[in-house]
Amino acid sequence: MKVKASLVAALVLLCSVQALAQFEHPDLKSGKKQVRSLLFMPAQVKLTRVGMKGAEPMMEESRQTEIDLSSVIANVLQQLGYKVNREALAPAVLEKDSDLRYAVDDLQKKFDDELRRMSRKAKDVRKGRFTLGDEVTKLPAGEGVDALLFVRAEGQVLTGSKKAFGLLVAGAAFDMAMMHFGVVDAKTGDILYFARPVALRNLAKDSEKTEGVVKKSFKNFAKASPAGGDPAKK
Amino acid sequence: MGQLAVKTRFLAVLLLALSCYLTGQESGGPAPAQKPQETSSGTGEKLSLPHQAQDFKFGKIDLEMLKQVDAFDSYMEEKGWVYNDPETNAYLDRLGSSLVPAQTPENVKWRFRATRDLEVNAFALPNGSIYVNSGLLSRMENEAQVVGVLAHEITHVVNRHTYLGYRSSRKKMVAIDIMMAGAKGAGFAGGSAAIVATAMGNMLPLIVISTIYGYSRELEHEADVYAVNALQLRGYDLREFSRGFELLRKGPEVDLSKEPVFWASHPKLADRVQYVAKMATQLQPNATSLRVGEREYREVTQNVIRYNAGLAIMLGRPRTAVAIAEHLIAEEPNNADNLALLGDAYRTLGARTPVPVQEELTDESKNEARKRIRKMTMVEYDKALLGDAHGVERWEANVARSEETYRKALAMDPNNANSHRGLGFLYERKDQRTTAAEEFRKYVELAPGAKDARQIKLHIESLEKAAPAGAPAPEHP
Repeated sequence: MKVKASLVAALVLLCSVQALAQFEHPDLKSGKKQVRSLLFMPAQVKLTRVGMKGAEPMMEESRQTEIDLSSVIANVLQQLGYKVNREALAPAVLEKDSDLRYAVDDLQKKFDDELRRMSRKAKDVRKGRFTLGDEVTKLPAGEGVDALLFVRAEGQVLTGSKKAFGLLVAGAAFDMAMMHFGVVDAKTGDILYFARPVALRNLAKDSEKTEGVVKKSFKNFAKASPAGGDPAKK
Repeated sequence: MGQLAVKTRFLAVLLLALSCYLTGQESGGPAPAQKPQETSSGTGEKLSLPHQAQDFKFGKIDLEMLKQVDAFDSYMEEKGWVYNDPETNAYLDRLGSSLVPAQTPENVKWRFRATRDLEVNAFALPNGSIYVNSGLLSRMENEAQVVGVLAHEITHVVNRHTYLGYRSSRKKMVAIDIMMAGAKGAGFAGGSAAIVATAMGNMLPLIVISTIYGYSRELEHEADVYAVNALQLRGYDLREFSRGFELLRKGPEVDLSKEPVFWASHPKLADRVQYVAKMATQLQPNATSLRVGEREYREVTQNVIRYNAGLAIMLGRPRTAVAIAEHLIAEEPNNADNLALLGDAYRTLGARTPVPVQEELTDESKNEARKRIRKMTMVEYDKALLGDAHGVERWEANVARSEETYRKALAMDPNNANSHRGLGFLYERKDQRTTAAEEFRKYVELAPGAKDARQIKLHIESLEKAAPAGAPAPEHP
């Protein structure tokens, strides 16, 4: 019986929720730079419902997922012993300060710009190639922390009929979300750490189930820069 | 908002082209264009609500879309994409409000705001929110040109173009999906069929595609005719509407986009310049005492234009910043801040000429530039430009111009903080550490509460540390 390659690939994916490769800056790996505290930049999540009549944005669900996913990530990092500041750039704070909103948006734009290149050649994070520049120091909230944490997620949620159709024609038949985590030096703007896990689930419904994926994504980060510090690396 | 990847844009436009082709002449598509009325100019009269708006009945899909659009509106505000300058937005609101029909269509709340976006573009959401990018405001010369843009966008809202387009495309989706499945079944084609099918599955919301990349030719023409009508009623010079299109055709940067956004889409613009100019000649044959509104426009939009120049510097478009700063200086030659802005723009040009040279405009050069921008970081890109023929000469010339401009600003106003800051970066780049630190210190003394005070203090610290001579200085705008 001829087994189609795409079906095999689909089965492999079905069986695993992957935390794909992780990339550390050489200074982080060597211990020259250490991260104990992080400022959480507002997460950006884009979910799309894909049905037989096309794709529709899931605006409300995306915004709720931004909150839920951020909680999951913050909890994981706190469990690993890191100090995570989520309050400084919380929606209630940003709402009152348009200059702060602009400063955050400018850095988010810079990160997205760098992310496009990192996604093409993520291995170059290990050469210390990517940076947002010291414009990061324009963020007042970044003064008391070692690093900024950027979170991106894009996911598609298929309707039942779309899933059935996908199975029929060996097309897309799963809910899927691709995430990007970037840890950025709060003084120099250097990208210290980059991970891009994939989860085969509906992020809007199951954000809390991504804890396992998130933990795996920060495994090498915790190794390179343990929260308690490694005296041997100083 | 305006940050779509080139690949995604290509797929989005492919989809739109496909859906526009399939839409054709079916009913429920574009309504007949309104004939411009022959009223006397400047009556202050408001246009009545066209029948498309009156007859439109909201369905479930439309209301779902409206919900998403309303959520998107707040999202724009939350993310800091809206430029919250009260003067600019009040001005846009005043202009826009004078153009809307007397009767507000159902489920529309008019709002006119500027966005922090370099793209020369404006867009309307079907709920009545109309956004004009800071990039477009910087390119326009007067009120009449901006009013044309606003009137055009208002038509898309009033005539429910987004809802109609969305309904139409949804009908097509199922047919296309089945077609794609058929193609796959026939031979497991993969290749181009798979790419289109993927695009179908991952497409951007139609509202974004339509508002940013354009509706069908008929709908856009309808919007232009309404705009002409509205401008005429308000007594504006219709030639300025045509002139506005001309201004959009060519900007200070080398246009590397393969699929330009609608307001800068060249083939469509060429047609529009012509037919609007023709309408202007017919409707206003003896053009005298018509409103242009150049002076007020310049006064009110100074802040947003200056802001746009700063954005251009930050986002690596120094030529745009040079063009804007030169314009501001032409308007107000004795303004030290404008000179400091020009100094910043020259400094961040690096090894680029202030205006693109002919060699850069060939297809080969553009492809090379696209490849570099795709692969290189901004720092690497600037270094690569330095390595090109005459790169170092150009860099030195820009540094000299920059320094001269800062000195001019300081001659006008010795306490111009931005000039000291700029000189600090300049001397730091030239490895003149002591002088750089002095200039940075002056900046911090004059502007202790500046948003980048902490950044500059860190620079001072780093310069005062014993760095080896010739160590590479950081690259900064």
